[in-house]
Amino acid sequence: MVVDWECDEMVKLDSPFNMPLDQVKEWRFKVFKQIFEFHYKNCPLYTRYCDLYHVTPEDIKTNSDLNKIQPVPSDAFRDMDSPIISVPEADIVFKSTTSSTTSSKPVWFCMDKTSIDRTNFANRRSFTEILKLKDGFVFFLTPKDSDTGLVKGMQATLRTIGLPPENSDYLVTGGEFDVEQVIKKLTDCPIKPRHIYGPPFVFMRIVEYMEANNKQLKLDPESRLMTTGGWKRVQGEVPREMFIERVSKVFGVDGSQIRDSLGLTDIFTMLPECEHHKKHVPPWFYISARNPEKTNEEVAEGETGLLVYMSSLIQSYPAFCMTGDMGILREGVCECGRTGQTVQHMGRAQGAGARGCAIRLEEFMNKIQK
Amino acid sequence: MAKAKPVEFSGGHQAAFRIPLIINSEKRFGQGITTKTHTKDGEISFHLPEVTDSDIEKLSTTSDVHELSINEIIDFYVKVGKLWGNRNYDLRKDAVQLAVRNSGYSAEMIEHAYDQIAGIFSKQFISQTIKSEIQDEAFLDDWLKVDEIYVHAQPRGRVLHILAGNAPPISAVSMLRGSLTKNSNIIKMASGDLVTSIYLASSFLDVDADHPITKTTSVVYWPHGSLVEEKIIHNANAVCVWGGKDVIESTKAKTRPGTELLEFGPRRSMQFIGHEAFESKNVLQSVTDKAAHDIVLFDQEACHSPQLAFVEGKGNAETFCEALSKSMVEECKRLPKGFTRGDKHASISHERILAKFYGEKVYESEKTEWTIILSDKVQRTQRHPLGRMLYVFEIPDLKGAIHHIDKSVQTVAVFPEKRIVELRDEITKRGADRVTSIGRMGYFATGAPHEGVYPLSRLVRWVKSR
Repeated sequence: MVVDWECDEMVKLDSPFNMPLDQVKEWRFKVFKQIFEFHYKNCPLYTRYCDLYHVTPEDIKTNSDLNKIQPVPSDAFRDMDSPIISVPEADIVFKSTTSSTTSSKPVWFCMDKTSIDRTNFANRRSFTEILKLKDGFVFFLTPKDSDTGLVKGMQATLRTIGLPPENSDYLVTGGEFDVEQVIKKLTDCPIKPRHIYGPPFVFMRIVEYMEANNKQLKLDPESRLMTTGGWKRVQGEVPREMFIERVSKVFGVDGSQIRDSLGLTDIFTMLPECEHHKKHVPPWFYISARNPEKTNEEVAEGETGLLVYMSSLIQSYPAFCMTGDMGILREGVCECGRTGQTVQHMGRAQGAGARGCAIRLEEFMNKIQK
Repeated sequence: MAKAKPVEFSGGHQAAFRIPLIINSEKRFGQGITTKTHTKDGEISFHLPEVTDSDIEKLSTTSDVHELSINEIIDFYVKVGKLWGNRNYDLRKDAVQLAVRNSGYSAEMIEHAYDQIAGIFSKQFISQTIKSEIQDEAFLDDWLKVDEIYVHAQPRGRVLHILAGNAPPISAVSMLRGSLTKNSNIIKMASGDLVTSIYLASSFLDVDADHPITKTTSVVYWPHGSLVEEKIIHNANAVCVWGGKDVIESTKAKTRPGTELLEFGPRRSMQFIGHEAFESKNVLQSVTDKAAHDIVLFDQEACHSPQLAFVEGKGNAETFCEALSKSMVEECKRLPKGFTRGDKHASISHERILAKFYGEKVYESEKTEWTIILSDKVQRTQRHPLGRMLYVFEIPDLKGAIHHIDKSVQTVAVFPEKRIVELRDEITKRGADRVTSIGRMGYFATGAPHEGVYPLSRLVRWVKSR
């Protein structure tokens, strides 16, 4: 089927992160009305579900109707007997899995080529224009073969921004993590700027070692030290402000170079922080914070709600995912000048298991601590 | 009448209370530990003193109450029970108000729980409990001839009770067991119930400030995992631990070999509804009214709370759900749901949405007060959000539900009662400990073992002499 997608036009806009708010909302309405209509028409499971709530594309008349788009609980992608897809099964070229503590069954998200290409393109824009990550060398504080969605997602994103695989190295091998070796590799790396990506607790291992041995590094002005919020459950977490202060000191970088991101494996993206540590939601995504007691209502801006992560870029499945994450949304103009939504992750709904990456990395942490 | 308030309101900008520790009847306030609860009125802080080495020393040398006769012990608790049976008793009134703010339960639920405590401390309940667990209360006072020897039940010494916060009556049950076996009691409160034990121990002072039970009862608190925990566990002669998997496992790991350990929880429970419930509308309503009470009690947080129901007969499950919905509305008026945090609301909403996506029928209150899900996926009930949610499954024959029982199941309630006989052997062989009737899941009959044991007989040392 050939669809003239509004989102294809939007992701190519000159300044998608600096549009006036009115334009952000206008685009948001157009792209989400279109993608909702597409899934409603092409995904029978989703149609049945929306009919239960008496919601059809005709009900999406204005921007404020976007909360009528019915979210799909992420667990549904695991338990259904048949795949939840909106395109022919033959078009599926990639199946991503994430794991859950509550079941050994993986959660499957099926992607067609169009959705992958479009999402990769959009992620590239986020990384190059918000994170300002364009070139250099990336050190992963993880094993190379980590099967976490976040590590794989970062690898894929680096490919899309043009960083070849040889411009990255993995500093955990065979469960071993040698801080001296990390320091040496960082010091000796001829390719600049040098970036680091990993879970906060591994950063802290390096920090504690360097502090104890009175060592410091001086990375580059364009270096990025990246963590992902989905890992913050991991033991060893320190308050964010303290983390930034200590990491910046031992690595010789400014606090604005330390960036967390929110990993959203359900919609194949990461939301990186800007230099003011705000996680921006690009206009092709929309996050809806629902009233935990009445999920067909959104909570007021600044209140904690049950988050629904929505992508206008994915046509292969209804990517309107309710993962059990709780969070706070704000919309406006950030100190960095960018516009649109920003999100603050506040934890998980009670009873909702820790998500895959946290678990895998806790396992990984246990290994390297031995 | 009460002489002094057991708990101090420390007021200020935010609501805060100072909860004392009681070490062998002596109260001590302090600010070393703060726990917080979220309520509909905002955050409330509870300040408690830390347990010091000096406290531990006193706790470690507290003697048992072997010199008391069992009748003196019973009389003491009956007096306490009479005080607590009066809803206007000063300490009970204060305890209700504070427990609502600490536990989040509604005032109606706390009153219900405290009525239960009064019943637990009744002469009839206590006497029947001793009779069924020890056979003859004279074993506790004397040496009785058993065949060729004389047998006596000696106290173990100091019993540490690590309590859970989900059901206030467990404070009363656990300390009563310790006393009936003539042990001294160290009650470790849960952060979810910093009230009931303190007020019960305070009412001991009202009954008799110099009574050996008053003088050997201590109520303490420490955060989970504190070093104090290990020291006190090491000095206990028996430990009764209630609660979740983490608490039970960590207590087991810290308990020395030779120390008697009784563990209670975590478990889940079920209802079996026979086709007989559908013989008439009146019968069905009676069954669903009772089923609703079982679900609503302690907002489904207790081990005996049903999380799923199996309904026998084609088409009956839907009829059951419809009738149960009406009963839930009424029972929720009688015992309103307590304060629910946002993340718990979210969890319930998430489960409802998931059920609807699966095409399951969801019966629900407008907000998240109660939920019934007519499902065919038993497996996913392992991820139960509680909060008055019941999964209902239709089966052709109740016997077909038995294979869903395992050791995680504590109680199975069966309707009609006459079918208990038919099902109880298989149900308990699979791992459940208790088969009872609908509406009685939260009430332990006298004579009933608890989690597969008779606790009183485990809290004594059975000694012998020629």
